[in-house]
Amino acid sequence: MMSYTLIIGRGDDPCCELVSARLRSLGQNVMLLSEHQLFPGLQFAWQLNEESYGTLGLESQNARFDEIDAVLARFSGIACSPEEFETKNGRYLSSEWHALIRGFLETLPCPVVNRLGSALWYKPFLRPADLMSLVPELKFQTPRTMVTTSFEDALAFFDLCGGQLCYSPLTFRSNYFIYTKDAVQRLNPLSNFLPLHLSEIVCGEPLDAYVVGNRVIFNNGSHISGESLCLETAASLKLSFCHFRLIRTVEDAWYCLSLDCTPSLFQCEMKTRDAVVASLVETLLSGKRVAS
Amino acid sequence: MILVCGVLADGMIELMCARLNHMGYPYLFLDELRFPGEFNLTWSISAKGVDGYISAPSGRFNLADITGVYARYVQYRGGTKREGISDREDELVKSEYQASLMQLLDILPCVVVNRVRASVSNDSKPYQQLMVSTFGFHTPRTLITTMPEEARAFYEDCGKKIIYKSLSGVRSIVRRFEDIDLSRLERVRNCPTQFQEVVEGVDIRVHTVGDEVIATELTSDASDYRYAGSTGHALKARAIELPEEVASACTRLANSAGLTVSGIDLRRTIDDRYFCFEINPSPGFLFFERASGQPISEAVARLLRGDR
Repeated sequence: MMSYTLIIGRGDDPCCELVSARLRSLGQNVMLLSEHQLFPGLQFAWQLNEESYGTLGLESQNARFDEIDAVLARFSGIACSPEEFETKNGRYLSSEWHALIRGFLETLPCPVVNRLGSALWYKPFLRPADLMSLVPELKFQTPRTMVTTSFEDALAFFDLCGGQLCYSPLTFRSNYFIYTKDAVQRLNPLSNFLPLHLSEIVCGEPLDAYVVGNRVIFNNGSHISGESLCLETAASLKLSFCHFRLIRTVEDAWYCLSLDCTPSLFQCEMKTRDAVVASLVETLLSGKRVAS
Repeated sequence: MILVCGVLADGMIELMCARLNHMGYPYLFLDELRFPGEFNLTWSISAKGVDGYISAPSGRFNLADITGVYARYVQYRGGTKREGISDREDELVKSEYQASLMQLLDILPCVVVNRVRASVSNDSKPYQQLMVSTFGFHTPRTLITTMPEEARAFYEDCGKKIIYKSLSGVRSIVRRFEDIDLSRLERVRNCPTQFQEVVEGVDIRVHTVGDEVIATELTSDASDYRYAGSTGHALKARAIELPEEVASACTRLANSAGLTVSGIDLRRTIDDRYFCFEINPSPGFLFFERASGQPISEAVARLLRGDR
């Protein structure tokens, strides 16, 4: 019986690339489904009845579902090129692919990194308000946050936050820091076009932490108190791989600024990246059958 | 105070506003076509919880006074595009405003019909099929494939009685597969397709409203009862009581999905087995209320006021 590790994402994603290369160097069978190049070509058949079984094949590789021992799931749900995605058919194909892969991952008994709950399907990047709604028992502290269509309310919030705050769009991952009264005035014209999503700036040491399985990898040293908070939060969201952006204050309070359920390794330092990849490989192999 | 969010052109919003008026329950209708503008919003969240207000032409309403929210997540329709921005920018602006509202509804502590985060499982029918089967419902024999030969074999195995439909909520129309369709099967290579064995029986729509279960039996000679009127077929709808274990499975399923109100599609076979096809997070109960006279919107209104 063959055994495969399935990687679903994009071939040019460093995480997919590095994990595939490491697994292959260890003699593992890797099947990489590069989601924007699957149709036509993917051979997929899944029967759902009282039992669920099926096969999956691409080019020369073919696997029964029970031969898949682990999955690294890093797909976006877009199964076509950006140009095709602008068309009705491209969007339809992507909806169908997304629907298929969510159900497929749910049926597999092997480790899946990550098998996202439906609440996270369209929200892989969580800001404090998301975290507070999804993790009611959240032990991290979070910066005060306001969403408003009123510039006057934004000004009052600026004062409440001690004259500094951060503006972030609700649907993009960018941040704009505001430290002066002149700068905050720029929110006035913006408020005519967009809701203002503002958060207080917390002073302290910024840290990046990656949870991989039961390990926490910080970009800078080890931090026992922060580690347990990361593990608890990841566990409550059933995540075995995620990235936290944190602030540790001088009083040793831990603030969580964001949580990414599909961490990118683009901006990682090489040492952190290598540790993350090694842990991912270890996590994926932990579910492997002993060869018989 | 009850908050209703949506657009008045949506029949469900119109029904709920009319029902709340009729029952004398105070409510605020946040017209998404006039947000921002005539309606504005400020909310903040801290360790103490959510705080804020909605300003409307009729006044300013504290979020703390809201006992329940009825929301329909519709695309903005008919809104005017701002000058000087591209179509893509316009789409992004609208997404930002919609997100400002949806995120609020996700964190409000009151009853919300329904929170966005509870509504997405319906976007994957196979995911839902796996979910409903854990509550003891039967589910139809199903094949999802990109391989024409597998689809052909399934068609034969099922005695040529199968349907096909989308896997997601997009273009979700059920169609019977016939011999004439065999020549088109090659197309499944381009897009995964779902085939299901036909299950003969009586259609039942169950609405769960909190812990309340309202079941409607539907009989029609149309292939899909939802289109009976428009295709000139008769439709009979009547209130029924479900066996206790089936009713309980419905509420457990809805609770597990985080849906305070749901529409569950069942079919009862001649040997009294209950098949479940779907759990709808934004059910259009107007159709069923009209057809059967069951007071579904009243039950929803009571839930929103916090009566139960």
